[in-house]
Amino acid sequence: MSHMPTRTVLFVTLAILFAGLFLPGPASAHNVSKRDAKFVQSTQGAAIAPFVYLGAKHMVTGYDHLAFLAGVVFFLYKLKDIVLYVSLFTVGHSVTLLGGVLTGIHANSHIIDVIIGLSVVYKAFDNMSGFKRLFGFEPSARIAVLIFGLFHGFGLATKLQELDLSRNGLITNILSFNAGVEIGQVLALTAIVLALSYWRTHRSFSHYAFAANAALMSVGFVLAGYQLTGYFATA
Amino acid sequence: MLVQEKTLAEVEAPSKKAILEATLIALLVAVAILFVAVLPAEYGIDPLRTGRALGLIGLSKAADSGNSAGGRATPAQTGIYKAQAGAYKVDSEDLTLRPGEGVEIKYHMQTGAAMLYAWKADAKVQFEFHGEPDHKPSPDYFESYQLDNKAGQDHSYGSFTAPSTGIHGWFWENKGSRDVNIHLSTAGFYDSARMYSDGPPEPLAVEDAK
Repeated sequence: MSHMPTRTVLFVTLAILFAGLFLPGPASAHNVSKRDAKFVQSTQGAAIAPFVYLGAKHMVTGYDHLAFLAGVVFFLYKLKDIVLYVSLFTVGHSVTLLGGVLTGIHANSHIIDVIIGLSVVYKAFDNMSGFKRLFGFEPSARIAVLIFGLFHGFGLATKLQELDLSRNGLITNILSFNAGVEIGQVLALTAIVLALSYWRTHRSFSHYAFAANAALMSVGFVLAGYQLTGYFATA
Repeated sequence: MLVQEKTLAEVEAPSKKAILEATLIALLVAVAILFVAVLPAEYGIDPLRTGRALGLIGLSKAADSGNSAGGRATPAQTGIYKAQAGAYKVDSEDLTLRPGEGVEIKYHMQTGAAMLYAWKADAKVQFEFHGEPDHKPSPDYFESYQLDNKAGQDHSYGSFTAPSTGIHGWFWENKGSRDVNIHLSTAGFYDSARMYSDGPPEPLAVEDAK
């Protein structure tokens, strides 16, 4: 293989330190911010536009979702493939977001967020050909994105449940929130796909694709470790 | 486009060793970031003391205390209560001081341990509320918290948090011409008590609160 281990090590380390610097401090991946939470709790009845906005904001600022999506589309350059994979992800997270909130199933949000962090690790490992080279088989990327979509939706559901939504106008508001999530996802994906497409036209893409996925994997480990500690610290 | 695009299949497959290496590095880097920055900033968990050094500890404290008035129950400001280690004890003592006599009662407490106290006398007595750390710079070292060696007082009630691990308590002196009776009640997280009068220190029995 073309890249030398030392160069890879250096690049991964720098990329991760860089990413670490920008990891938000007290604000967490999918906490709807405190001010927004007050609004949600004081809302009685349907409020379409605010919930669409909150859903979109959540997605655009939810770096765990973004990291996973970046991993999913990393090696996709045909629009048809991008639409297919993102649709699978959307179906997955919509099912559990709507289902979770409507049926009142409560999952531990830290555990869900650990799984979301590990989904980033999984996808990065997959992109590094880890499954093919180490285990001699490649699990279906489509099924994986669907299943992890279910967990991402559960994460969203637990956050909405913590807000103690009013029953009045609940379905309209969750659907609005979900619509906002999709809008935010399209916005975020447009930026990610544009950036990746641009990078792909440069030689450095094939040189550093492996290292970039190693960096992505490390981000996933950080997210998982952060939430795992949160689970024990707040238990 | 001049530069040829590569599909997934065309990107050279990395070796097993490279994948394992990169995975291990990714994990180690993540653990380092967690311990150096994320855990101190988010939870105040700071095993390497890097959070303190980088000033990240304040973030988790600010998040804990950040609040504003709202219609719903919000967490109150911090510092309202303080959890205490150790057993909750109660003690009450009755003393009689003859004219010219002095006596001292001291409780052994850990730094930060709290105590409520109340003492009452049937005449004014001179007193000093003071403490001596277990590790003191010189044999005669003590810290004075409250002193009245002039007119004196016939009571004092309050709460106290030990500034150091050591013995903390009161010295009373009867400078009048009649006997004075003093009643002292305390409750808190001290571990033992002693009385100092003329002779050697005399241990006092303190009770575990029921």
